[in-house]
Amino acid sequence: MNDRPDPLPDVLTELLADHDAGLPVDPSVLTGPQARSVLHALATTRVELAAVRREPVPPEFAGRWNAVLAEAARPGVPRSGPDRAGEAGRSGQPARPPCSQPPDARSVASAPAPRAAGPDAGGPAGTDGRRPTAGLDVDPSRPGPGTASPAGAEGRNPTPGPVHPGPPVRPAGRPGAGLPRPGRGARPGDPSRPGRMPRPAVLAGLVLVVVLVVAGVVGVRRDPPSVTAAQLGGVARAAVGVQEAGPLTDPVRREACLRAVAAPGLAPDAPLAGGRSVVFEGRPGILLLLITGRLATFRVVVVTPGCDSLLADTVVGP
Amino acid sequence: MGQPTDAELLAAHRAGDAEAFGRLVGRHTDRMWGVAVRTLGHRDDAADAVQEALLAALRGAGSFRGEASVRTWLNRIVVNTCIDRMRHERVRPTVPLPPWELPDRGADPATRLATRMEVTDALALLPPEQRLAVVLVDMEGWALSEVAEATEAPVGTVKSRCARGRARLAVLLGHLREEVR
Repeated sequence: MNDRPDPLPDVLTELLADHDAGLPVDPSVLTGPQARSVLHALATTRVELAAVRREPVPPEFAGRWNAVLAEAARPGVPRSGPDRAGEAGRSGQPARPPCSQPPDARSVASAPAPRAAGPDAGGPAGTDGRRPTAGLDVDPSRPGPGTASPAGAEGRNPTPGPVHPGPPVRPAGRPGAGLPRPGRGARPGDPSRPGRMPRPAVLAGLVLVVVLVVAGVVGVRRDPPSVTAAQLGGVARAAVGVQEAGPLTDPVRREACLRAVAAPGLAPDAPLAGGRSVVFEGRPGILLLLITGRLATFRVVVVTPGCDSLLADTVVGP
Repeated sequence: MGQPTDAELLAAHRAGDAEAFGRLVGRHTDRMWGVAVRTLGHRDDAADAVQEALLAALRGAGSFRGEASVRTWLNRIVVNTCIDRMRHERVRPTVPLPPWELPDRGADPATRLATRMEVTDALALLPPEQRLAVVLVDMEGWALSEVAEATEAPVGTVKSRCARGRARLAVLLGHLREEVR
């Protein structure tokens, strides 16, 4: 060590590294006694680096990205308009959502694809002409616990597997909005409603019914959507993050169920990206959207509620 | 007909094709993952970085003007994401990487393990720009022009960063120990 106090090797190494990298250097550098060994060491370093094999994308990460992207791009998620998306696109500088947290659907979903805004919203699946959200029962405004609502999306865990549904969705407006106001019309002496007297019990009951309806307890529009084989892919994609698979939301029960129906090539423990009750080709069933480990690709199965048979089995994705 | 090009998939996404974006980025996630896991040296951080980059791409897809290729655009996003994370990274304990990272040379597993740890640890000691340049050029096989475009630096700067990084790695990996001391 101390018998070789020459400080030049570091500088020499850097100059030779410059040469090795294709930068011009003084030719005299190349004629030094250590040049050959340094260049050899640099070449060895490059070879060693190149020999390190790249780990394939772990399936669990691919599944997570898959689910997050699907959620972010879901047509029913509200879009907040041109926020930071433009910045990312122009400069290449990504905005900085914390990936360890659920994606903020409001900002993430400001994806520029115009499908949720224009008259063609809904794409091909929207040809029924009824509403632009592709005919599936994915109306984000539909109330109900655990449904695929914007509020639920904001609280959703982006990781695969059981996705925690958001809290029961609160009604967007005041519970009594649009209803007869208790203080009006029922006012004594109101000429427009001469015979209607305010009855606190009736009003309380009315308010309760309204709250229950808005909360989805009464079951307004809770019927499972009817799905044909042709519609299955669209329904499945809309089910990303939806936790309406009943008992099959539980991984243990789901695995047992998938073993029972024995879908060919399906890993019974595949993480769940979403699920819901459906009526498939006229038969009640539970649709399960399972993560495959390939980006934007899901295995979709529909099983009977008792898990005694497999009604459908397909793959959706690129 | 053949597969749609990246630009065609991007256009389809903008036109409302729900599958197009997934197909588009699906072509590039292997590369994005490689960059992230090698520059950040930690799988969870890398997964977060790729996720962040994918979401940034999704958000920015509408305003991407097509002045560069889609590949270049995605490269830039993931590179910027990784640089940002490297600059904010803190020292964290070394977590053994899976066997995929073992260098494909030599027959002695112990030697492989030792070499692998050295490569991983040595890379982590490089400044972010040098680490990124070495990873992209020497490990991921990007062209210098591609790295220059993604990092928005002149090609000469990329070469210089590679040179500095390799020189330091050569010492850290033991190839220059005899010469330097």
